[in-house]
Amino acid sequence: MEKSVAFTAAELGTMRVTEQIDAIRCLGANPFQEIIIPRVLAIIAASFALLSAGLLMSIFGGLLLAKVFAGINADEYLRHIPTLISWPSIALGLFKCLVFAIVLATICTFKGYNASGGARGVGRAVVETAVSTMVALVVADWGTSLLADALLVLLSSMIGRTA
Amino acid sequence: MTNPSASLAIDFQNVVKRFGERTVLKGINLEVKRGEILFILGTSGTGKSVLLKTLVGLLRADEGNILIEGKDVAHLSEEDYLPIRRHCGMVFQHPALFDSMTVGQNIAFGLMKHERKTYEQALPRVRECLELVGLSGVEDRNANEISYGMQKRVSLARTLAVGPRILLFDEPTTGLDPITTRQINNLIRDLSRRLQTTALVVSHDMECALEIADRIIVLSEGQIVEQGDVEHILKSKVPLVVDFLAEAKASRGDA
Repeated sequence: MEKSVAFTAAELGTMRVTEQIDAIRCLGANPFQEIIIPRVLAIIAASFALLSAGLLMSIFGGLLLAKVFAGINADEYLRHIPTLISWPSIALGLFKCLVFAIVLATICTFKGYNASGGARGVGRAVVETAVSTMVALVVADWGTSLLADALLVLLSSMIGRTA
Repeated sequence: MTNPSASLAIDFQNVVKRFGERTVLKGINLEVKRGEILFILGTSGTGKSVLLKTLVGLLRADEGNILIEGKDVAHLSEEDYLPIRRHCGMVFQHPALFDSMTVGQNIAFGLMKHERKTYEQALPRVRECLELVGLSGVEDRNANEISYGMQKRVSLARTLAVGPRILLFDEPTTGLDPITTRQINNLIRDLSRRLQTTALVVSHDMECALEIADRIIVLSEGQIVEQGDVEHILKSKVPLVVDFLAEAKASRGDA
């Protein structure tokens, strides 16, 4: 993800400093529609694709290791997955993925779009993107977990009351 | 909407532009008639480019009014400015081509946006514009693999494609060899005459200005120090103009 984020920041930064963004405006088009929104959507879509790929790889990797090192057969392994994974945890995973993607996409398009000062400015935009995305991801991770915990407590207390 | 029949294409009324403490445009009053070729000359850093960018709303004036075809644009929102820019095409100092696209896609960009055409539908117009700038048959090449002079001409073709009534040129010949410079100058003149467009050219090339301008304005430190037709400029006693003329004469002597 970091890779495509740095790529986007550098690409938009270069478009800014070579006046390509001004050129879009001068042709009477809105740069937000032309270059920002498509990239934000693409980054969000890509994160979900990446998430699914990651999940598949971890499941099958685990399956393989379980087979090779512990002699657990595939049926047994797969049968236990639902007992370990709950719907709330899947929902949280998807929610986190969405939040992370939005945070990353916003930072890299913002930094790239507002780059100034030639090649140096593009370099600076990429560095700032890398640094702030890392910090923002930690904060977003903490924030989403906190929110999820609070929700869980709230839900269980409500269930407790009705019971 | 702007009024294409307004007698003045562009009207600057006491326009001031500041960057922090620095005042770059100190109350510019400027009228450009329809169909006129107006050159704005000045040394580097006198606010020539800022003047053009203020006109198309890439920068916003701090004081004063700017009228394009009778419509005050200085206080428009970015959204409302977009349609104005279609009629007021700017050719940048650097070609600023979209380097991930082909030459043809660059030129078709505006058409595809405004007229909702597909690339195939826009292609005849793309070819026509390329022909206008003397570059037939390059539409399928990548924008970043053609020469700088060609890029500048493609940039002009891209601006022409949406059919602007006013053309703005920011240093159209800076960094070009003398032959390409001549081609571009002839192009500016021919296009203005043939397409009846108004042209505002920012430059520091007095020689070109004397050759193709209807009227010349000389800018120094954010103020207009001299203006008039070629005859008037040639007789000017303003020191900066005299320097410019001497420089133009010297370079012509060398050639």
